[in-house]
Order: sequence, then C-alpha cells, then structure tokens
Amino acid sequence: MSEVNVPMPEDAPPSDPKPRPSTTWRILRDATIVVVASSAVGLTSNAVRSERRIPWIQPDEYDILVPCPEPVGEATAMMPEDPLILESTSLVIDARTEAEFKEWHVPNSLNVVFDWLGPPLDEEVTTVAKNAAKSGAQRVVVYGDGDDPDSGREWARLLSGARIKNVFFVKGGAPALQKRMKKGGSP
Amino acid sequence: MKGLLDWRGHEWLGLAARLYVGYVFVSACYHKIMDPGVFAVDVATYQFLPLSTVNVFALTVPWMELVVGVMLVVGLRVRAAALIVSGLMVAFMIALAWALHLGLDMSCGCFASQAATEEDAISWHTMLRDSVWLLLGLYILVFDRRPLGVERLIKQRS
Repeated sequence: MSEVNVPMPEDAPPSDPKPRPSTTWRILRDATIVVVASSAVGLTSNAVRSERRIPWIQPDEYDILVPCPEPVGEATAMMPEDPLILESTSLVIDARTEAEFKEWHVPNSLNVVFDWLGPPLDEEVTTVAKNAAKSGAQRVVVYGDGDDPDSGREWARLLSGARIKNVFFVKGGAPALQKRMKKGGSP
Repeated sequence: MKGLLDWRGHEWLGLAARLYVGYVFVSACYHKIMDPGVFAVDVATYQFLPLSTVNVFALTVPWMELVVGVMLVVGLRVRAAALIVSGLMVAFMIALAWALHLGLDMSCGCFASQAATEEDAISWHTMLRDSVWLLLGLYILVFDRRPLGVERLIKQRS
C-alpha cells in the first residue's frame, strides 16, 4: 500500500511553514476518529434508548439455534429375517429407550439410545466403534423402534457418517424382529 | 504508476464506487441500529467472537457502517471511510469463512436479521460478493484521491 503514501499536490502547499502530516497518517487519524466517534454514538444511543437496550456485556449465552449439518452417511437396509443379524460377526445395537430394551432385545445386543433432539455424542460413537473393534465384528446392525422415521435407521446413518463401515439397519426395527423371533424363524 | 494515479477518470469511477458502497453500507445498518439485540444474536450465531465482545460489536459496528456510508456518499474524508470499509469487509469475510468452515446452515444477517429471513444463506457466493465490496473499498482508498463531493466543494470555495 505504498501508493497511500504518495503526497498529493493539495496536501503540502509550498508556502506552509509547518510540516504537514503525511497522507497516510491523516487517513489513519481520520479513520481512528470516525471509529471512536461512531462507537461512542452507538454505545450512547443504546444507553439512552428506552426499549431494546442491551447490556454491553452479555451475561448469559445467547440461545442460538443453528442446525449444524450432521455427518450422515448411507446405511444399508437389512430384512429382519436375515441370518446375518445373529451371527457372531455382527455387532447388534438397540437404538430404543432403556425401558424398551429391558422389556425385550436381541440377545447380545448393545443398548445405545438414539436421541432425536440432538446429534450423538462423540463418546457414544466411540463406544460403538470400540465395541465393534473389540468384538471383531465385520458389520454393525442397528435396530430401532421401526417407526417412520425409524430411530434405528437414523442411528445407522449417523454411525455411517462417523466413518464406521458396514453399517446396516433392520427394516421394521424391533417389532419386526420380535415378530420373526416369536414365529421361530431366523433370527 | 503516477500516471495511473493521476488519471482524471478515477474521480468519476470513484464516485460511482462510493455511491454504490455507501448505499450498501447505509442500507445494511438500518435493521442493526433499530434492533441491536437481534443483531447481537446474529453476531453470536457466527460463533466467532467471545460472548463478552458480542454486544459491544453489535452496538458499535452498525453506527460505523452508517457513518462511513454517509461519508462515502457525500464525499467527506473519503479515503478514511474507504479504509474503514476495507477493514470491516476483511473482518466480515473472516467471520464468514469461519462460519462456512463450521458448516453453519445460516443466513448472512447482513441486510436483515436471521430471524426475519431464511434467504441470503451464507455460501461462497456471499464471500465473492464481499470480496467485490472489499475491492471497491480498496479502489476508493488507493485511487480516489481527489474525490468529488462536499469536501472538495468546500475546499474550492475557500
């Protein structure tokens, strides 16, 4: 920005005995005055206004609701009668509530409740990833309430978005699985 | 370079740029001055400034926008106003880049509060638009050395 320093003819009249400040200095000085003065006006106008006044320092966090895009991936649907669900190479996750899980669940399944109100905590995803690694599972199978939208499918998509591979969800969720098991079919 | 700086056409190009940028800044400040609380929420939504500075920013910046907008339009201390415009645009663009980096799905809040409109969603187009305004500000700062306007008129009369 050396161009700013180029003195203009009107900036330095030769007859002026006092050295005049450089153009750059004058621009900076004027800009500073404008910033300070307009800030003062802003703060003063806030102080004197009768309504819509705000404190200089906000005491509590603002209630902001910005939907952050969740890393959602694709999960493959799996039919409830698929024998892979009960194989030892599958890590089965029950996405329903604790009460529903206690009432009935697929043997050896892990209860990780899906929260509709917020994205999964990192630790929840880590828990699933650790369990998958520990069990030597080749796939993660999630089942939920089977509603529309299905909590199992949503969990599966989020897990897939968290870079967990081979994530499936059971179509129809727990009701469909329960029905199949009562009939004595596989699983 | 001196020839380029001395070109008389800069007066008119600078005037056009000043009127445009001045209009943009004056029209952008209106809703922020009328309701600083809403603008403060808009600022907080960017998740860029610390909470303790959000309200002071929301109270002072719209008035800066108004003052520099008027200065550009009427031709008063034009280069100082252009310096502030450029500084503000750089600050806005950093905040915008931050919000885009976070992937925030939000509107800009530049000309209307985010609560009032879901349009004007931030994107790289917003960044491009702001870049144009930054370039215009820099153009005025560097090239508009004998700006047409009130100040020149007063100097000519005295």
